[in-house]
Amino acid sequence: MTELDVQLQHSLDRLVRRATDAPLDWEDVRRRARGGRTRVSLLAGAAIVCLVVGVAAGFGVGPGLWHLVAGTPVSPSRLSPEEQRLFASMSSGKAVLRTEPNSPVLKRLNGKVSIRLLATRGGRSFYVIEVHGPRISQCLAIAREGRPDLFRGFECGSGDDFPSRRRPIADFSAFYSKRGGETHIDRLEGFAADAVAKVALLDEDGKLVAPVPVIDNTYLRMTGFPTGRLQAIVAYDRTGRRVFCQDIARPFAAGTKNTRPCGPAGITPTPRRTGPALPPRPSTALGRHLQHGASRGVKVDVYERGTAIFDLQAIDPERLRLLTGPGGLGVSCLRARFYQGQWLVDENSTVTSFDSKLRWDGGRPLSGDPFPHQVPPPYAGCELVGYYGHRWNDAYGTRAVVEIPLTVDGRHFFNDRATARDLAYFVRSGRVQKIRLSADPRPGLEAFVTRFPKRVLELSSPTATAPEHTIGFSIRDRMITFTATSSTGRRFFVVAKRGTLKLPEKNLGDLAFVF
Amino acid sequence: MSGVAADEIEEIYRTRHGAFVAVAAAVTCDAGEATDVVQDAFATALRKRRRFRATGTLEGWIWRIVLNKARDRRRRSRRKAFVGTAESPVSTNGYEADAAVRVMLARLPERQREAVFLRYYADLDYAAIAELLGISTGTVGATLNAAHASLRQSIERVEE
Repeated sequence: MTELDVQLQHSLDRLVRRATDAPLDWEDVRRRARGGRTRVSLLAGAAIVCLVVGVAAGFGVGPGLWHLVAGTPVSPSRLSPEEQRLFASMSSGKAVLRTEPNSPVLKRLNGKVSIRLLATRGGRSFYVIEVHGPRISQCLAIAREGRPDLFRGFECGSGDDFPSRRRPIADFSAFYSKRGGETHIDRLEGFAADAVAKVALLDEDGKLVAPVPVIDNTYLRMTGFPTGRLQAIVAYDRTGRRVFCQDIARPFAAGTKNTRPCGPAGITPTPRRTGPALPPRPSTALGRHLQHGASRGVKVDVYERGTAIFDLQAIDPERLRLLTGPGGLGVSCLRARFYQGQWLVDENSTVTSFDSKLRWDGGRPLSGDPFPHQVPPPYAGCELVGYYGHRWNDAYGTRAVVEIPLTVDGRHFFNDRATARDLAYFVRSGRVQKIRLSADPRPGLEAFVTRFPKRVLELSSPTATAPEHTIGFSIRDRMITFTATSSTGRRFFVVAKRGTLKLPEKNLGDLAFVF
Repeated sequence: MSGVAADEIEEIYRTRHGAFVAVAAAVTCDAGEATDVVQDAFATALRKRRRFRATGTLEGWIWRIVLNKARDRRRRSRRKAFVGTAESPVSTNGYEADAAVRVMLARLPERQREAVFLRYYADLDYAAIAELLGISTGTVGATLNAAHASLRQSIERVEE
C-alpha cells in the first residue's frame, strides 16, 4: 500500500465518519422487525450528548476539564471472555480465574463496568471504561474497528490523573527515536480533555508540525509527519495557549540541539508527585504445607497462602545450563482445568535469576492491586522456564526446562501442551508458511516427509489421527489439515487455507500460539 | 441447514454496524438515510431469518439485504450529493484532499463506488464482492483498479 493509498483510506474514513458514528440501537431493529415502522431518530440522542459536551466545553468548567459524559454506551456483553475476567477482577478486588468460567462475579459484570465509545475514525474506536469497585478505576482504550476482541490493550488509572489540568491529554501515539536522534512516528493519537482544541508536535527548531484537531475528545493523525528529529508533543486550548508539553526525543543525542522545550522535568505541567502505591510485602508466614512434587532434581513445596519454595540443589546439570542463561529464568505454578474441549489455565509467572532455593509468591493476594492476578493453590503443577528461542524439532524440545506435575490434571496438561507446541512450531515455521502460501503444497510437504520420516507423515484423510510424536498432514481441495496426537490421546489440529496464511480452524486454545 | 438465531444477527449488527452504515451511505449518498437503511435491513433480516440457507455466509446474506435496501432508497430519493456534502465545509481540518475525493466519488459509476466501499469498509474479499455485485472476481479487480486510479488522481492533484 503506497502513501497515497493510505491517504485515500483516511479521506474515505473522514468522509463517512458522521455516518459510522451513528449509535447502535438494536431495540429499534427489533421493533421494526415486529412490524412497527417507527423511525427512531438515532442521531437525536447523539445530538443531545454533543450539546451537553459542547456547553461544558464552552464554559471550560469544573475542577476536571472533562466529565466523561460523552460517548455511546456499549454493552459489556461485547467484551471478550478475557476482558470480562479482567474487569470482573478489577471490580471485585480479587482475581477471577480462567479455570472458574462460571464465577458469579462474571455474571454480575453488567452493573460493575460501564463502557462508552467516544468516537470512531480511521478504522479506530476510542473507548472510555469505568470500573466500579473497591477503587473506581478509569481505563482508556483505542481499538481497531470490527475486531472480535473489543480491546487489544488499555491504559488504566485511578481516575484522578486524566483528565485534569495537570494531565489534559492521554497520549497513545506510537513513536521511537532512531540512531542519530531522528524520530519516527507512526501515528499521533489519544484522548484530550474538553479544554484542549489541538495537539501537535514540536520539531527540532521548535516549530509546530503535524497539528491535529481534537474532535469528540479524541485526536488521530496517521500521515503527513515530518522527517528529522522531533522534540515534544504539545496541546493547545481554544485561545491558542499551550496547556501541555512533553519531551519525546531521546535527550542529548550526539549532534543535536540540546534544548528542553518542556522545562527541566521534560513535562509541563509537572505531574503530582504522589509516587506509586507499593504493594504491601507479603507476610513471611507460609501457612499449612499443601503439596509436594519433584522432577529433574528439582523439588517444590506449595503452602496454603500461595507460596511455592523450589529447591534446586540437586538439579540435573543439563537443566542447570538452560536455566542460567543471560535472560534469567521464569518461575510459575499454575491451575489447569479441561473444560468444554479445551484447557483453561491460570498462571502467574515471575522472572528471576538462578539460585539454589527460589521462592515464588504468585498465589498471594496483594491489597490495593487494581489488577488482581494472584493464582491461589492448590496447583496442577509448577515449572521453571529458560529464555531461549525455539524452532520446530530443535534440541530444546517443546517442554519447559523443569515441569513438575502436582496432580493428574497437571500431568495431562503438560503432555498436551508439549504436543500442541510441537504442532504450532511446525505450522508457523518459515518453511511451512511458504508451503501454505504456495500454489502446490505437496512437493514441499513431501520433502519434509523425506527429510524427517519419523516425524512427518501424510494422512489418508483430514480427520485421521497421527501417531504420537509425529505431525500428520492431509491436503484437500482448498485446505491443508495438520494434526498431532498427545500421549493423553487428545488430537490437536490446525486447518490452513491453501494459498494464504489463514487458519480457519484450530483447537490449540491457549496451549500454543500459531499463526 | 436453514434458519439462523436472532443472536447471530445481533452479533453481526454490533460488530459490523459502522461498516454497514458506511457502505449504505456510499450507495444512498446520504448519511442520515444510511442509518435508517441499516436499521431496516437488519429488521428484514430478523423477520426473514428462517429463510436463510447456509449456502453462503450469514454476513454475506445481510450485506445483500443492506445493498438492495440502499439501492432502493437511492432510486426513490434521486439524491445526487455525496455523504456530508450539505453539512461539511469543502475543506475541514486541513484535509484538502477530502473535498476532491468526495467530488470524485460522487462522479464514479455506481458499481465502482460500491466496490470501493465494500473493499475498504466491509473488508470483503474479491469473491464476496463479486457475489454481492453479481460480477466475476476478475471484474472486481478491474473495477477497483479503475476506481482507485480515479481517486488517487484526485488526491495527487491536491498534493501537487
